[in-house]
Amino acid sequence: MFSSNKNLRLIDYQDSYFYQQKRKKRRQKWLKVTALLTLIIILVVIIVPLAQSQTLASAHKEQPTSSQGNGLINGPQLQFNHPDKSQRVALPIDITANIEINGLVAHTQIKQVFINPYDLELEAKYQFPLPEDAAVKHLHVKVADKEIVGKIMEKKAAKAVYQRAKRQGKKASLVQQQRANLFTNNIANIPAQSRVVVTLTFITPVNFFNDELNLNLPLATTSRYQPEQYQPSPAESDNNSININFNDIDEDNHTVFNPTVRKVLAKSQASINIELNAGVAVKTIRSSSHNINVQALGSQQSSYLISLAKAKSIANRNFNLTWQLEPSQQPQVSSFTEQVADEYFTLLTFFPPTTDNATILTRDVIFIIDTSGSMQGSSMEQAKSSLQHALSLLNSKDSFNIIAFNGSVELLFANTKMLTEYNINKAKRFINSLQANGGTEMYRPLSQALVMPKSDQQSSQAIRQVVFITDGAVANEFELMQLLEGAQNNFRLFTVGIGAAPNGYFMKKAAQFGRGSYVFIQNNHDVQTNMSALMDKISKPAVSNINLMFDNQIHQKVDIYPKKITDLYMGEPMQVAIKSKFPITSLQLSGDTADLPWYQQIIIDDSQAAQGVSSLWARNKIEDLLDGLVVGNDKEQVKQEVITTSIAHQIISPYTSFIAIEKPKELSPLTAEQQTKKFTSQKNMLAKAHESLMVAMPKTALGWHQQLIIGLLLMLFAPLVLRIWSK
Amino acid sequence: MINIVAKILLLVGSLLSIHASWLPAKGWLSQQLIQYSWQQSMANYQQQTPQQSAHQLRTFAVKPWPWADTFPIGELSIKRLHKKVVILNGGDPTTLAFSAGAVAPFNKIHATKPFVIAGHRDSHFAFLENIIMKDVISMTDPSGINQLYQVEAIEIVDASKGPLPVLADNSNLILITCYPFNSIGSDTNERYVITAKRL
Repeated sequence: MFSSNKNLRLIDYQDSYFYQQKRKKRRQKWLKVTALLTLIIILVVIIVPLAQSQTLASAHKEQPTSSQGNGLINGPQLQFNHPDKSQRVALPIDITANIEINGLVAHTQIKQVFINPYDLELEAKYQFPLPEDAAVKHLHVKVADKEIVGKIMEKKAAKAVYQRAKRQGKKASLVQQQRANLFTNNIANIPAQSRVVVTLTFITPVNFFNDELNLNLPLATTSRYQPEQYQPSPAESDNNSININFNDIDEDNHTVFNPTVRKVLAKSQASINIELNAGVAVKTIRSSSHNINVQALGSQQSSYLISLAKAKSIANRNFNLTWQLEPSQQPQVSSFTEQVADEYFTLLTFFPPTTDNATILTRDVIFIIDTSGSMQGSSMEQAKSSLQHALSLLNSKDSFNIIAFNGSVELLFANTKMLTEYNINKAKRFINSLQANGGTEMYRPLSQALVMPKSDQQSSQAIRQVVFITDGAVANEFELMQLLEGAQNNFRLFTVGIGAAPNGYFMKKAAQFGRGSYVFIQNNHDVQTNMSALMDKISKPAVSNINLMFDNQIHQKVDIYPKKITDLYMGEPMQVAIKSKFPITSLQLSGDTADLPWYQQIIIDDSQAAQGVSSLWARNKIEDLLDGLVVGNDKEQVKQEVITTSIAHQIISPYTSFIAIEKPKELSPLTAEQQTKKFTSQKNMLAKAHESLMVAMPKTALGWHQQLIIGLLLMLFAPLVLRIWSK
Repeated sequence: MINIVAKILLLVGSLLSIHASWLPAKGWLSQQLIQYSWQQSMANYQQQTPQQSAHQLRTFAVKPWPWADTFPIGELSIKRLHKKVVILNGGDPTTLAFSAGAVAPFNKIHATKPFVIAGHRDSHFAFLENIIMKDVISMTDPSGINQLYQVEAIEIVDASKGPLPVLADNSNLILITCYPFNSIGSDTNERYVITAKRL
């Protein structure tokens, strides 16, 4: 036989020296291969980031401090414009917040305390956050032993006044709104080694969501870099002339104080004390952010003192307080009033009666689904499945239609059709056939949905709901808002923002002008659940077409904000701020429920006095005015009105700032001068929409590192498996 | 049997590795095509009469490849880091796979509007990690005009808490990428947001 030789060798004595050596060699070979692969993986995992950080370090060489500050800064950080740049460090500011909650109005006083540790008289600047819906109404600054009080002034005039005061060596403070929830404070001429106490007072409405009352206080802190910028001192930017060129100020910032400072000496600390007067018995109080101490005041279970368990917490996360009222104690209406001069301001919160599930409004639902190219991939899949899901939640009384659009419009039916099995199946086939590509022409589908005839079988009472599923990648939002604004008020628009980069501003504002609500989906896998929640919510409408009526003889002029009241769905309260000549003791609410017109007389017998309601009213008004920009109100006029409201009510706005100066008397001539100057410069400087737009943050990681590592690990695993099993 | 298991492991592993390296390779390859189309777009645009304004950019823009649903709208460069990236129009995942993209509706270089660009932290926008305060970023539009921006804020935000608010009326340049930079995996909620002021 051919193989006789080989066979002989194979049945050789296994424990012979030869085999031992051979096995040993083989083992060594495996070891080497494994070691090599491990080495490669370690190289990939460790060396790559290391190499990156090395380039980073070398890039930072010219910087006096290392890149350690890349981490998260805790609390607002303060900087002085010390002439020696290497001396500049970020200093902590200690925050004490005293919050008084009366029913649905929270009065917050924030004390920011810091010292000037240098031996020079210097200027300081810091940035701090406040709640987005805060009406900031008072600024009080104590520098050393001098106390100054802030005043609202037009933004540019305030800046000029501040810089002039600074040059004259006066103590001054300028608080400006950077974003809706971000403010800066500049304080000039702080004497050496002295203590500064800045006290800001603001009013916020208490949020009501899912039967829970909620208060948030941003503690200036989470993962935020502070821009290391100063207002350049006028001496530096503008030596010889008294007139300050406003436009230059911002530009100069970059050149005056150059290298960034990243030395953090200590972390800012915060302490919070809250007095909660809920008015009625409270069921639970908790904070999802901090450990709190709760101490009951009195035996009624309605008043509590709340403080942080750790008296001085490091200000590194926002504070959040949630409390729940006893269900039986929940009021149907609550009213808070403030009298200012001869005007009354009322914050009215109305909790709609929980309707029976049996009375469900019949609806005429039109789904608009965006099938443009940007919806490609998972977005489209999610949009389709949520549309399918939404269809399954309709009942047989409802009628529906689907409009798909990209560059062109595709209709399922010519008008809305009753929900029958046949129609459903047709819709399902239609949805399945949808494919994402092409442009995004939103105007046509939207206008078609607004004028689409109803199904003949549908009752005239049926409420039209337009559910708009899109990523909102459009440029003509303005046009669309105008379309919604100009359309008859017989529809509700609900926007569903889908995809990696939905246009959040569009979603929010379109829903507002369409008197509906919006769902914004950040993570693609949220779509299904969020869509269900929206459909559940809007399939149980409570009250629509709400109108507030007052006794015309007494109340000839009432000013209500927001102007448009959205539908009240299950569990949502309605909150309006009202200005009137006389206290409001009763009002009538009218609207439509499922089948009947709804009418409710509200007698306000228990109106609690609450300070700050006028500020809340003014804040609502400013928001409403800014919204006016969207519907095409004159920009200049809006700006003027915002400024007027802001100054009249002394609350901060995007067009105005708080300014505090040692000797306020000198303000008036200067402001007059600035005022005239302002008007001349306004010609070419149109007021822009000062609203804070929302931009979605797309997913920005490929994750190929992970895949590579898994791949390499698997490849490493293969020989190991072979090795272990063959033993 | 064992051999087969090992071979499958080896195969799957190598496939995964190849797929993983394909992602950055695709990014790099497409950059070359995009770079070319950018040059073409610029040349095209400059031949046009000055009356035709920027919103007609779409008509002059050259697509990097015939079936692309996006086009280059600008070039971002950072001198200090010697980095240049051509910015595409759109912030959808398909676009971002090829290069950094300008997120609608902030995808026009405009004197009064913010300009928002997003990019992958592990490919085109990896260099964002090295950006420091006061860095100067230059943005070139197709007409060849250079606009300088200076970094004034670097923030880390939680994207799961909703969209990022930006002031509508200032012309900031905002760069977004995922954070942390060297983490493994693609599902992070944190975003690294660089705000640069128009100079």
